[in-house]
Amino acid sequence: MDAGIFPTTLWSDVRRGGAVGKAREAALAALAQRYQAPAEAYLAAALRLPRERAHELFQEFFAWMLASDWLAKAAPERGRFRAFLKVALRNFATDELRKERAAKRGGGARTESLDGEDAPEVLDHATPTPDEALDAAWRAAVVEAAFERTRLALERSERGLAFAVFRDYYLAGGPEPDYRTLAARHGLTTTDVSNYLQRTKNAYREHLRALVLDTVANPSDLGDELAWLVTEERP
Amino acid sequence: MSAELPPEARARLLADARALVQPTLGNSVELLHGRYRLLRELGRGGMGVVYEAEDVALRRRVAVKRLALPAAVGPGLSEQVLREARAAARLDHPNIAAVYDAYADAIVMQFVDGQPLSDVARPPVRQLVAWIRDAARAVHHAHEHGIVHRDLKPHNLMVAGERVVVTDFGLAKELAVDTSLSLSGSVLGTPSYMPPEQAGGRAREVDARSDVYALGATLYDRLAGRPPFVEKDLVALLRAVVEDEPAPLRVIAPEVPRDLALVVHKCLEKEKPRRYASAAELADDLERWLDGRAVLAKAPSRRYRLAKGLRRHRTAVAAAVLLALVTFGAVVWNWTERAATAAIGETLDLVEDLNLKLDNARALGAGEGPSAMGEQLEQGIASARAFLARHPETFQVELKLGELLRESGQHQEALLAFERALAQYEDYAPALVQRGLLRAYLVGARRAAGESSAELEAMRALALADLAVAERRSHALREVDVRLARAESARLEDRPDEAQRLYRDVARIAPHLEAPPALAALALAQGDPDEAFRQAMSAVDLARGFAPAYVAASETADAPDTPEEAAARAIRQHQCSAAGDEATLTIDGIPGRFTDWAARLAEKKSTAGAYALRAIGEVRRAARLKAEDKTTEALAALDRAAEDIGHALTIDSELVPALCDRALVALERAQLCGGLGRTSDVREALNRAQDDLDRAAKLVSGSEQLRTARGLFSSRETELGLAR
Repeated sequence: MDAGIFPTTLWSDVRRGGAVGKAREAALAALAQRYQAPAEAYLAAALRLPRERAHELFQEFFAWMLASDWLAKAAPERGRFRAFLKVALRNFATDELRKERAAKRGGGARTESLDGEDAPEVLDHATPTPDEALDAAWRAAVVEAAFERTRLALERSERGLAFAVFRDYYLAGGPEPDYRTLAARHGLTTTDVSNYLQRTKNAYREHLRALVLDTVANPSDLGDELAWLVTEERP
Repeated sequence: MSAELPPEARARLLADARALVQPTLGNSVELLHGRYRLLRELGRGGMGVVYEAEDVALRRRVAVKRLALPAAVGPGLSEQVLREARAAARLDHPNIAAVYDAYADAIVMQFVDGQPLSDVARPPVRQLVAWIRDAARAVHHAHEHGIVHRDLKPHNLMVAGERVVVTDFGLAKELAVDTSLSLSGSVLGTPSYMPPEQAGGRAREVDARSDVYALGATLYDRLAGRPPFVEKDLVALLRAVVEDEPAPLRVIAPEVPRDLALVVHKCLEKEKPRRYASAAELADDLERWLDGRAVLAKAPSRRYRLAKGLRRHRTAVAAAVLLALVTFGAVVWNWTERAATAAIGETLDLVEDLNLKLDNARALGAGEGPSAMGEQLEQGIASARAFLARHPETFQVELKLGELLRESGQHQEALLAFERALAQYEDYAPALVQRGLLRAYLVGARRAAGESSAELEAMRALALADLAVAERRSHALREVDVRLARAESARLEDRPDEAQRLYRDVARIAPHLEAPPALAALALAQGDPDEAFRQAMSAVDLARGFAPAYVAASETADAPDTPEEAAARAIRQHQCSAAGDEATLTIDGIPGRFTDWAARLAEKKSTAGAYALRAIGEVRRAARLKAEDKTTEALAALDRAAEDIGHALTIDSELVPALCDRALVALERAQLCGGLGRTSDVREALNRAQDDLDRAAKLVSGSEQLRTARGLFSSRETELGLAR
């Protein structure tokens, strides 16, 4: 298929070369907004900042990304937005560290290597690396956004009961609630509960898939990214 | 954004998303055979995976037994599956899971909401006996219709309350048919519950009394808590089944009533005439036991036991087992441990994944350029090699490795992989065909380069010998491979007319394969450049990214100064330069010229492909205009593209890639209209996209291109749905 021809996902919109059009910036902004929390988690871990400071710094990061020619350089080898964002964040954080250290040393005359002692990864082995922090927050962000979209869609379609079952099933703490309990709580039969759940689960999965699709630029990456997303987090 | 979810909730949602990466459950938009939505995996066996599914047409739950791939993992599977369906569909019995539908790669069965007998912990003896009695009556019903189950075991009996349902007539072999599939038929089955005639590889001796044995073994298992024979490896197990007497049931489980134990041991007799003559007789005897009457089964006399001991000829028995193992050959490797099913499942998964990579590579060749194609192939080659390092004797994976290597141009390596597959499984028809096709290709290439030598002649003979397998073992091959083999043989034997006819056959049944390039080459050799060009274009059209198509297209450009030549060059240039984004930019910079060639072609109304090419030009133009924020012009270009694809579809209404492309054009239109706030246009465009995708889905299933288009559709619809 001529996947390369088509400006189809948000990320492929961003990736497409040529003049920086409004469409591209809009697509990037949409993606950045969706994945702001993971980006902030990265910055917080890399620069050992409190979350509020990372939150402020994110705006700088976004401006830096637009101003620098990162987008132009990003294109072909980065099939996934997550990978691209990590590289951009890493460079931005290195810049920040360098500025900070230069200020401490009382001058900015020395040139530092990007991968040298200033690289954020070597800060501490006990805490999660910035990459790990971003990945964990990313999983959470995708799942929550898909959950939220499911909720919105069900609300719009006025199938509130279906969502109530879905919410009770997923959001209850402790062990998984069984169908009979849910049926009793909502005055349904267990078959109803099973049907409701099946449909809402499918809808949730579709939303999740669509969200992930927007962060990749070709179909093979979609599979890999989905696989990464659902792979168990290892301690 | 919602408030943060609690960690358990997030874990549960993530776990639920896992279904998306099981390829078969991956896309709930996609329906298997346009009708079945796979819901969850119920179990895996040697032949495939069973899912709970929803029949969306009839809104009922069904069980779908799906082969990972027809004919790809071993000879004859899909034929066996269809045979199974034919057989089982004739059965109508309350205790037999009904078969609703059958496809080459899947069987749709009644969904039984219960649990397998194997999962019932310590069933009450009377209930257990009643279940086996009912199962025996159901099995007898099947026997009366000439069908032997051949794989009865606790796992295949589903119980719900007092009811039992026999499922998975997965190995049903119609008694009337002496099948050449008995090779695979004889090995499939579960040796622990298998009668000696089956374990000894004497497939012809399998009859109704073989099922009586398996029912007895099942009863033994559930009473004793283990099957009649337990050995640590397959060879020892098969030998024990053939040679040893099972441990007396009451030695292992003294609480089992004596009469019941007699019934079980009568089923487990090595010699068929000493078992119950039918499953109905077994059912009757179980009934007697339940009623508290005397059973017909008797303890064997001392004299018989002595005689049996003398009669046994240990050497002969051992030889029979060995022979059976040789016959089982290829399938033995994955049986060796209890991990057997895992290994089979893993192999099936990998083979499916590698096939996907092969398809992707071809599909991506045009879109993302040769580098993306190479990436797919490299990934596939790497995962095949990694798997082979762990399981070196996996001929199916060797075969796929060979195909991947061939596709990536590493012909010698590919030949070696085929050799390894064949060293493990001498007569593995799919590997023979692949080796033959590759040898034939190499002979053709060297001949075209002007070579003529004794060595080439020898290679040609070897190719022909390989390809002859298509005649001998056609049942074990995909139809398209059989036809390709015949066509290549005709070409090698210098019968171009016949080769042409055979290749047309191939093109008819599998339009995405190598037929059009071969036809183009044949037409060129016969001095028919118009036909050559037509074929080359249809090759490009059907398999963009498939290298031979472009080679064929460029080779047809012998006559100078024709639009054909120009188009062939343009296509070649497109192919060669699509290696990266920079190159894509270059292409975006030349749509004028590109479209120009295509337009001249379209004037000649030569093929659907010409229109499709012009449409691509328009789509590129639209993409550029969109990037420059010239929305109105971009919309106009999209409309022209849609119109051209429409022309292409008028010529060939079943051009799936064109349908998908038009759906994508409509999606793009929807997005642009959404940006302009033209809501009704958005809706109309989405409807059009939906229509085309539905049409495409009726024509093919499992096309990666279609799957992607649908994924994009759902993504766009969600985005735009919020604005609707």
